[in-house]
Amino acid sequence: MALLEIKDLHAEVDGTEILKGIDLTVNAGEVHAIMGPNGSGKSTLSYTLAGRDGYEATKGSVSYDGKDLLDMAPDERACEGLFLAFQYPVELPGVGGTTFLKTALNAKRRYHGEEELDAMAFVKTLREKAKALGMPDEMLKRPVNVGFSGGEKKRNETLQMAVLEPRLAILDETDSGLDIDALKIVSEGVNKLRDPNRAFVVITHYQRLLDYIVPDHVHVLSRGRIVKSGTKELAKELEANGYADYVDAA
Amino acid sequence: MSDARTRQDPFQDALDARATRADAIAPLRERAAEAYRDAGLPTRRVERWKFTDLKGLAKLGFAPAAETPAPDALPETVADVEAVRLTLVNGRVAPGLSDLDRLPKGVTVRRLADVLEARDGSSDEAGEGASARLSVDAGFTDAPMAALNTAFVEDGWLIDIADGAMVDAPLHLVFLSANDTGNDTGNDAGNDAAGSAVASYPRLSLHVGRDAHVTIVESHVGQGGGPTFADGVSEIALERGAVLRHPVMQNEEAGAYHVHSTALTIAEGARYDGFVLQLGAALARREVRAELTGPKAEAHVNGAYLGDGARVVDNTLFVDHAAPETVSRETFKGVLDGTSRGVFQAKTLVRPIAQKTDGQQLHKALLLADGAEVDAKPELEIYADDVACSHGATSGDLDRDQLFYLRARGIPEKRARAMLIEAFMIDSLNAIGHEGAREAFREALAARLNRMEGIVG
Ligand SMILES: Nc1ncnc2c1ncn2[C@@H]1O[C@H](COP(=O)(O)OP(=O)(O)OP(=O)(O)O)[C@@H](O)[C@H]1O
Ligand SMILES: [Mg+2]
Repeated sequence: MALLEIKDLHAEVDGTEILKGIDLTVNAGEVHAIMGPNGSGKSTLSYTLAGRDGYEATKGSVSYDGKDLLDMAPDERACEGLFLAFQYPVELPGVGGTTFLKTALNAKRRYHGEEELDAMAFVKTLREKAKALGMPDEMLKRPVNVGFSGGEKKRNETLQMAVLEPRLAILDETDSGLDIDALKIVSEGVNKLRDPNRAFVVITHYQRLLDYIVPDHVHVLSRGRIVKSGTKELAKELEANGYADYVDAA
Repeated sequence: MSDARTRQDPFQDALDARATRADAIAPLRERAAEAYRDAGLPTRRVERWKFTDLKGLAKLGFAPAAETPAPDALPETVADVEAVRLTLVNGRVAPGLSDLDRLPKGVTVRRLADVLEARDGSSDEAGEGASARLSVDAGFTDAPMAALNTAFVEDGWLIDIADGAMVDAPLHLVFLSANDTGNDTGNDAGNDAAGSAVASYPRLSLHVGRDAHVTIVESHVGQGGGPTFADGVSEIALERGAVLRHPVMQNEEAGAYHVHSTALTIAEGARYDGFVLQLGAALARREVRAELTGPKAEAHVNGAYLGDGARVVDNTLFVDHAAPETVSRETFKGVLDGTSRGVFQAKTLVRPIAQKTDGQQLHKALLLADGAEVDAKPELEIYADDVACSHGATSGDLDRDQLFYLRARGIPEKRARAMLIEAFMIDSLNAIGHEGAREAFREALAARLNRMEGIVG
């Protein structure tokens, strides 16, 4: 059974149809890359899957681990193992980074009927994971994303993913804003999580990321539809020729 | 018969019925009684009471003032702060709940009742002292509620901090409104069947001597569930170079009416560092009047409040810059749910002499429900030309993007809302200069948020 199965998904934002029939199947263990021009609907797809209000599925279905994903509240989806790394991470003034992650992880544990984590043990693992991503402890104490640079915010998204250990992670342009070293560090963070039970959907504009996180499938999204699917070679071709061929095809 | 008499007013009746007290402030009481009789219970036709209606208070039936035995222990709503405690129960000193035997060096505490008992004002220093230190209306103009306190006051504290004293241990003044005669809030439903309300008139007179530093925490709380009315007055003077940190928490019970008038005079180079956290009561009005009388005097009057149900929470401030290079800061944040109402009236007066005044007023409200309301009226009245003053007010709902971000990480909606509300409030608590008090207030706020209906079920 596929981990994620999207069939003919149509979605509206504020009454405007943006997704116009998406079909996509992601199996556990796979990495899928989605590329496509600005405004083609990549973020809309990720928000619709994560359950943001205002993003309304009007047609089609999404099954996740055999369940109707669209029927679940956003926090339920997250507790079931869906994770979205935001293209534009949100600043949370007054919410400390450690508290935020501890609350999130404990919410997930409670959802699964597990005991809450011991605070000391949590801080220890958090520090280890932050260190691996080159994030100083001091950053964990600060309010979430407040005053973080663009790249720091993206690292922070990756850290949250590492802590919450999702089954399906959607990375929406996690590479944009990262410097060359950070790109490697973040990619290593992702690769470390790759395993047969887990899948990734990586949204990116740049072939460079896919040198580090090597995808099994590459899709081109244009005007709300997937217009082409292929292997990692497709990304290289796009890098060379741009989207012109596919945009017209849509 | 004055216009005020045509309305229902239990306090006019109480003034008529009261026995004359021949104590040290008898003439002051008579003047205060007259002042109240003339004005009566404020209505919304009075400018300063435009947003807060005391109608519900007029409908309460009051029990004759009876000695309430002090409870053995204080309720959990009291701020959990390590301090020397001084407790008033319904406006009367409760020695058993007060640490009168372990006052810090440089701190003198007298019971107002003892001082008032010294009837023979002319020959008794203490009695004379009392009438000199208390005034009819604590310097507020048109202040019938402060005058009512003066007419009825029986007890309270006279506190003196010696010149140059550096008092490390904070004092903690607890004001307990106790009424266990019933659970009815006594609101519009009428009060025939329910227990009568208990009125109290707590009073504080505080002098902070030259260059003295002290922290005085206050908890205004309730017990027993019956309706109460606390009408308090604080008269506070800071001498030259004095520093007073003054975090005040109002955490009264749901059926309580809470009115408190604080008058401050702040001399040259002195700094008042006040914070007001209002979490409880059916109706609470805290009024602060600060007079900056000497150059470089500072008044920091910050605060936060939380309203749910049909509560009314009022913070009314007046700062008078009467000397050059004076500073005032007023930042208030409010969270309002249900059909609660928040009121923020702040007026800053800069007199012609007060050049180089630095004054800021800011009010931010979070409205969680359609029925919740806020009236914010920050006002500057400036007669000097070289000043830096600003004011502002904003209100809005929780940020939807932030809410989604938290939920996208698995945090359930109610918990996410509570987190964001706490986050909105929390940075304002950083204005509390005393760490123990800051932590205690933070805990009280979190506990209150957890009880708040509709946010954390
Ligand atoms: N509230 C809205 N009302 C109408 N149209 C919207 C609204 N929000 C987004 N859109 C439109 O939806 C389209 C898809 O936007 P989306 O953010 O999904 O693009 P994207 O593929 O992620 O682009 P990028 O590569 O720039 O991140 C855009 O044309 C955008 O203008
Ligand atoms: Mg996008």
